[in-house]
Amino acid sequence: MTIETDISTPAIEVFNLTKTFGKGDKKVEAVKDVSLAIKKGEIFGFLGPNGAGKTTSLRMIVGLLQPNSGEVKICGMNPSNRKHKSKIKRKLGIIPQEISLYEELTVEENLWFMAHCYRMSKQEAKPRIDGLIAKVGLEDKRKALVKNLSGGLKRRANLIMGLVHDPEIVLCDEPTPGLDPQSRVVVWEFIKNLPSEGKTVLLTTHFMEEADRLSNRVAIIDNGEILVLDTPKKLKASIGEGDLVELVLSVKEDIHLQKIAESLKKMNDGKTTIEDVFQSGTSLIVRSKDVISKLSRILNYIEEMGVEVENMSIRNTTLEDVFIHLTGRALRN
Amino acid sequence: MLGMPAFMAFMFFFAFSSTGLGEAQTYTIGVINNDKGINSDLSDYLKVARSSGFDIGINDSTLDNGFAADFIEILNTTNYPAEDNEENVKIFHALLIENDSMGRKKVESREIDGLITFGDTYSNATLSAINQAYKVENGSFIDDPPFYTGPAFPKDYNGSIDIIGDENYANYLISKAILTSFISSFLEQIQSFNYQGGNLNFNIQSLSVEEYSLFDIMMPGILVFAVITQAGMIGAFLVNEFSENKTIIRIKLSLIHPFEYILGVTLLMFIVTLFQVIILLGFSMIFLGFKPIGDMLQGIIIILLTTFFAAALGFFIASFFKSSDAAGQSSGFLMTPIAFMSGAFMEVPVITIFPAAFPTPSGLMRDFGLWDFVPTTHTVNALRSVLLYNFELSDVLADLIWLVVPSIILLLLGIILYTKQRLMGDII
Repeated sequence: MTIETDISTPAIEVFNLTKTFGKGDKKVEAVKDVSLAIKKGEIFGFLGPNGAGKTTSLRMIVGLLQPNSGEVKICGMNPSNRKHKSKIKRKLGIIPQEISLYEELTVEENLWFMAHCYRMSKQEAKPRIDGLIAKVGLEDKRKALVKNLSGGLKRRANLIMGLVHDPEIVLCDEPTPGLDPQSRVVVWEFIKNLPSEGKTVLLTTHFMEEADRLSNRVAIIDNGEILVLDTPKKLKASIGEGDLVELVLSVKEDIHLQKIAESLKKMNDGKTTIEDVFQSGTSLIVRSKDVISKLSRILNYIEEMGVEVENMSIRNTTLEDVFIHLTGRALRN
Repeated sequence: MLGMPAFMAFMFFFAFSSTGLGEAQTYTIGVINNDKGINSDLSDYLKVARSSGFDIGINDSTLDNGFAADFIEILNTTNYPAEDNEENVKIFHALLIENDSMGRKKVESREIDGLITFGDTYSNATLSAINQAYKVENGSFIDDPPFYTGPAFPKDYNGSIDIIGDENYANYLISKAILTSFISSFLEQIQSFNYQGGNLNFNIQSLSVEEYSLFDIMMPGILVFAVITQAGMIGAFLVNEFSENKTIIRIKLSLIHPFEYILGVTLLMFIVTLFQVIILLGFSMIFLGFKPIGDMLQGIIIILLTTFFAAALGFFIASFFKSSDAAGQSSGFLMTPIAFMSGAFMEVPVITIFPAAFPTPSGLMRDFGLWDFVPTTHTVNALRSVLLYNFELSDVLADLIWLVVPSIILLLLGIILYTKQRLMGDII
């Protein structure tokens, strides 16, 4: 009991979690020795490309998948302990990657079904369901059959299905793929407001913007390993100061791009200092302080090498850049 | 599985010894009495002889009216063994009928459960037999001089009792069984004497009164096929929940117990089956001329019991298939052979495992074959017996036990498998 009331206890603790699939030559280590602690009331982002091990980690955290080794604690309780299972289930709410709705039921019926699944009384469930429907703007569609809703509206309904029982911890597994911008904003706002209701959120995503906007802390995961874990601001700062210029050049081959990058790194005419240059796909990204004032000199330098600049954009450092910096690949790749 | 027959025998013992074959019922038997009675000279002699102390145990009314009339009287007055606090119930009600054609019509219309015809020499043949018995016991015939001085009593009379009825009719089969045992014991007594003269014949004729069409005969099989095909449907539904809709993940993480979910699915299947059967029966009766004579409600109960088996198959399918299309298609390659083995579409040859080991609705024993291990074989048998031949559920109890018990065992195995494979998280 003291465990549950202790606010200093992390919402989720993961110790040396490992998961392998397959045997022999086909053995794949999906999650390698992952350890982390998610504080109560924070939004914790799990950022990584598809197949990085995010969903596998999440499935192990909620107890759907048995790890090969390691331990998970939810609010200090071990899911393996039979006595804790019901309590843990009440604390967890999941927003799965796929739209998991009963197509032949209305939005409201889906929510009522979930309320029954969590043994909620009518008095308890009614205001909760009404509130959730209003939060995601589905008042007009509450009586509509799910099969008749658009993809965006289904995604909104999917979002609130796992929250009917008012869980303390919400696990969002890739909540926004394929969404129209309007629905995406609704979903983001919804998730962002969850900590204000005292909820802890574990968000897995491969959208760096999503992780950046929503998360208090982000763990970047690749090939089953956590590469870095910190606040988005610190992660971005970790790769250096300055803004970025993304250049699309007339040459696309890696060998040429690398040569140009090396050359740009050495560019120092007394006025222009380049902090870093790295390749992102067929583009080059140049990072430098006060990049706008240096832009004409950078462009001239490239043209002097006989290469044309086809397109160019200036932006702030993103988590994508952190990922590229760490892995040499873009998240989308 | 090897111990199953012994287990079933145990079950049957308790089931039948405790419930019997149902409530006592009075069967109406039509009687055509062509018996011309006992030769009047001999009858008069026996009456006079009795007053002189020669009594062979035949009363005056029998001597006046003949042995057939005596038999009819016995039929009309014999009761079932009295149970405590129960009124006496007659086994038979004998209804006198004028002639054979009328009797057969009454059999066809089921106004009577069976028809007994006494031949015209029945009494004389019976008395001939008694005469022979008397000779064996006392060294002389009843009509030997010096007591009897009338015309010689013929010793080569042939008499007959014919029983006619519809073999497809449960009441006939039951009354025939009682009458046969009654008459057989009587004939055995007579035939135990070395009777050289005439003969007393006992014939049973069966009429195929109810002319069912091939469709009528097949209809129970079609109903069974319809129900077990649902296994594919329910399998597809469950697979869809698991791998396509992914809604199962919500169930897994909720407080709902896997058995609650499974119970809900099975209940749904019962409801679908009920509607499906009502529609199928209604349609086939209104538009296709299906004419069952049995109790429809009892037929529906049998079909609903088959849902256990279909649900079991559904859970097995859902445990092994990963796409709803594959699960749905499985009904084709799995359910059709099961339906064939059950005899749903046509009679299948019996591969005997235990000879004369399985009780039929009429109380006889048939061979227990390989296909009897398929629960739906018993649905088809029970449905045909109840819907087409007017048997009661209690008459097909053995089939019901062989339908329900293996189905429940399979269902439990299917549920355990499905729960482990699909419905439970590795940890939570």
